[in-house]
Amino acid sequence: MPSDSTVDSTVKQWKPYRRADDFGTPEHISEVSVALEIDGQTVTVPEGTSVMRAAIEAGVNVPKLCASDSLEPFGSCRLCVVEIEGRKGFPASCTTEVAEGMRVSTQTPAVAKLRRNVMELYISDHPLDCLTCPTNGDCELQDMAGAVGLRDVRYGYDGANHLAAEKDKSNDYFTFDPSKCIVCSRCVRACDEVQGTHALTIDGRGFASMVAASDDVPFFDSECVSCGACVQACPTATLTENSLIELGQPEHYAITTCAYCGVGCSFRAEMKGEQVVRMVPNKDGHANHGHSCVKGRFAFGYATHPDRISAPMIRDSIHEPWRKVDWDEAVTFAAQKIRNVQQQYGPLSVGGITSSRCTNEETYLVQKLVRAAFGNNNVDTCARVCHSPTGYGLKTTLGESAGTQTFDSVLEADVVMVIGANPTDAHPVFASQMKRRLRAGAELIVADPRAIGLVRSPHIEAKHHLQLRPGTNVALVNAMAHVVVTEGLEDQAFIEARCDIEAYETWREFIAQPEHSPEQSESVTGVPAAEVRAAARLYAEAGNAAIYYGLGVTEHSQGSTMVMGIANLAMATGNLGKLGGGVNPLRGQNNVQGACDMGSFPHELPGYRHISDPAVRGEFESRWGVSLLPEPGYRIPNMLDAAVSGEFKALYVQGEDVAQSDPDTQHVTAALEALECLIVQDIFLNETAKYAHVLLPGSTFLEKNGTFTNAERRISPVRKVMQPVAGLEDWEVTCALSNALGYPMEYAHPREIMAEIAALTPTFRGVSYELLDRRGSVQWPCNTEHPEGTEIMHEETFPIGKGHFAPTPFVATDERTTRKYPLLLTTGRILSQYNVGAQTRRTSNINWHDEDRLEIHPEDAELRGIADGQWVGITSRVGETVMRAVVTDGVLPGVVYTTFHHPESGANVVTTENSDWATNCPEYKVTAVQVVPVSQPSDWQQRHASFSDMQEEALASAERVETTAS
Amino acid sequence: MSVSIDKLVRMAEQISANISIDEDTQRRGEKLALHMQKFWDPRMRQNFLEYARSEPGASALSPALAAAAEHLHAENAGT
Repeated sequence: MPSDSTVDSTVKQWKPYRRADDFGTPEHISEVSVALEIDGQTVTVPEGTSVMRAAIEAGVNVPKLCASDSLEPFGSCRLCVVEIEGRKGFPASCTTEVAEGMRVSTQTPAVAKLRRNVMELYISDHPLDCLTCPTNGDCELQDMAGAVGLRDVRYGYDGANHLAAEKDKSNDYFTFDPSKCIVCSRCVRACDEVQGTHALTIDGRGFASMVAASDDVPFFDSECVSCGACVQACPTATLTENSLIELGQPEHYAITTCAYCGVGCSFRAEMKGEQVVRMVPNKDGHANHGHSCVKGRFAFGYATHPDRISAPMIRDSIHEPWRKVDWDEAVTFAAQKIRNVQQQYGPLSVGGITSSRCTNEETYLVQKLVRAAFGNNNVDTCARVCHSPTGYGLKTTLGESAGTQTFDSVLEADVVMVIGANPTDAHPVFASQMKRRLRAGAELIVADPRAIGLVRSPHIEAKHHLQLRPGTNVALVNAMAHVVVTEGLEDQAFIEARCDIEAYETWREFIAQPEHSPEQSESVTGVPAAEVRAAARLYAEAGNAAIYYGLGVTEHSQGSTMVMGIANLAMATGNLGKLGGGVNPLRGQNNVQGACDMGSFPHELPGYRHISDPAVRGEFESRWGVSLLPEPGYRIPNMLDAAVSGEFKALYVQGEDVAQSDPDTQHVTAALEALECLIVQDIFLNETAKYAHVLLPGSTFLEKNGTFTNAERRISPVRKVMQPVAGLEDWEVTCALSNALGYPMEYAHPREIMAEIAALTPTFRGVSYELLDRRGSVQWPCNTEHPEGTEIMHEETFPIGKGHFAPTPFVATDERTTRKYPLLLTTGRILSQYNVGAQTRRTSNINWHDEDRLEIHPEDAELRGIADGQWVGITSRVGETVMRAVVTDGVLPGVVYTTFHHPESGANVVTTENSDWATNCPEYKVTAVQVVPVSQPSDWQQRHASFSDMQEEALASAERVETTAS
Repeated sequence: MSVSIDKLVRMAEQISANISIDEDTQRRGEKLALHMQKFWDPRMRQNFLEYARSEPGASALSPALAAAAEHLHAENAGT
């Protein structure tokens, strides 16, 4: 139950609101320092620094409007002018670099007069409604008017002006009020430089200059991706968050970590009491450096959505209404059910699923509960269905189940190869950083069946788009490795020094066989051999070549082989252990890395140590005071199979929605229906919860303390800024359940859980909340050898000593097109929605994507008489669903594509039980289907709709009972 | 039975096909058995073993899977 210490330590993390510091121009790194004098003060800064930055760093505040340290200097507002001894006129301090011995005066009578005159012109065409303006109290223009001492406007206010310009409210999250615009171009530059979308421009010239989105269309209809960088950059109230317009200025903030994708952006949650006024990306955030996407910055409204589950609930059968109970009754009921099941069906008949959306501490506790309190190893996590092949593949080859780099490493890459990932949609903030590097000259290779956004975007074009057929990744990576090996492009020095030579030679002999040549693979992959050869040469000869990959690599029957193929390629070309190179899995959810690290897999204890290792097990046994089974337990698909066959009877699911996200939905729901006890802990009545007997309210990332670990192994703090809706943070719920089961869990705060993790996990030994408070974040391994964490892995050696080349035979999937199912379905996600959509569907992000649709090539559409927007039935050997078609040449002929963000779309009704050979990660990316025009929803959809209605009613009647009783 | 025997055999075949480029059936079977020991719940291994050591399973299994079953059996006997 919530303790006083929880509250105390939270309060300390809250800071009074003030605008983030801004040094005017970006930091310059140089070994050469330059000394100059600013207002009589001697200042030493790195060469290349602007006079403005040198002054601000020295505590001299130069007035500015168009300058911001997240943007390149522009020199348009003329407010930052200074005098420099020996130079003529009044140079802008933002665009003037420091020079040795320079003497700068930032305040002289001439400068003061000039600045006042400049301000006077600005204000002559600016509304004087400061008192009722949304940014009153936090407006740079207002501040500058004060700073320069503007007292009157001699021109009057009656001349031509923009005061009547109309607001653009087309975007639900922010308002564009051009009447307040000073045309400083910060928004345009933020869109170009920070986000890289280039959606904004200054339209017109001189007095007619106006900020315009795309071809001067409303923001919502433009190319704008609603990342909010422009809103953050705006020095006036021209671009303002609607939440701020509604609520007024925040009064305090806390630094926390986004709960969406695996980039793990750091945010300032800017608050008024327990209400979020806005989320502003933290400029000191090590993963995102002050940038964010539409989800992280704007889509937080789900936390206070009326659909939140606000009280624990229980029922004996899923055909009964829910009964609201208190926490004690709920966990006692759940514990009794679990124990009854175990008594009747044996101790191994129950299990648990941890969540990649919950914190490290919460995940750790759930696996501990399963192993220690349930007394078996039937614990798994949703990484099973996304990145489990990364775990297997990287552990086998490199010795550690993690990406090798920091995100910042991409800035040193000469070639970036993106395989089966769609960063601009799924990892947008990292994509912006990558695009910055690509615009600066790095080359790009994309391997993807679809023309993803990166292939061609403003100022970026992939040198090679290897548009392979779904399911042929391994053939492609083998062909690339074949080129490297047979054309003498290997990094022999790296291989000899760093890799196991015997394994290397076996691999080399294998990969050099002619069957792996691009020419012979062409008929399999569909990628022209010359293109593969050119891409392989580019990758191998670049200098620094980095691979980024996603679920298009892992979610295949050969997912693990492909991960090993990628690692082989990186080892063969010496692209490991250095900045700018590496093998980088882009993790789908915020804490996929963390969930895996925390021992969520049935065969591994925290830190990826096998459960059969008696020494490791012994450490946990003595700390936890129980004996542990030495054998792996069931994986999620095994649990579901065993439930269907009647042997597996109870499941505890935290923050995971298998009924929507896992493949072959009808098999999943049959398994859930067969359970005697399903305990779901979640923030909403998700699809899985509709089959539950116990519903334990979850808490959002805003309502709890803990840590998330992002795709670059970065552990970042999650801080509580509001009380959990139902009173308990998720870790407290697990403790309560464990205590009810008779296995005591006593923690006063997640910091104590992290201390236990650190004590038991060598790669986390040095991690503590104190370290996180001091550093902001830390990348594991963090221990005695790496007290401040590890940015780049494998610099000297691999955790297994030598890198291990693994042979990668290409074994085609059994899932093949036939006359009955002639098309290949592949699935993915889009920018505005997140995974099963439970959060983003309950925000205005729904405006961008209110339904899942099926993308189909014009040729395939024409053949079937399918028009754009028409309803089509998609049938595979396991199921059928119906959605609307989008006819596009973004997919290859023979390939169809959809997203899975809406439960009623039933994308996973169609996907099959096929899975990765090593890990059982489902093969979401390849399903043979037929697509035909239809006029009504599928049978499944009709059944789903009526079952969902029944379950919504079961929930609503619990609410009514509550209301009547009180 | 936990996971159906058809599925177990299919999983084993898939592992066997992917885990090695070694043509030698015995060595392939050994790798397969090791993989099953590391990643399969013992109940799944037991079911697979029972199937492999009785008819019609024994005759139906591919040589690598039969070799894996022998390894698993030998391990069981050893412990």
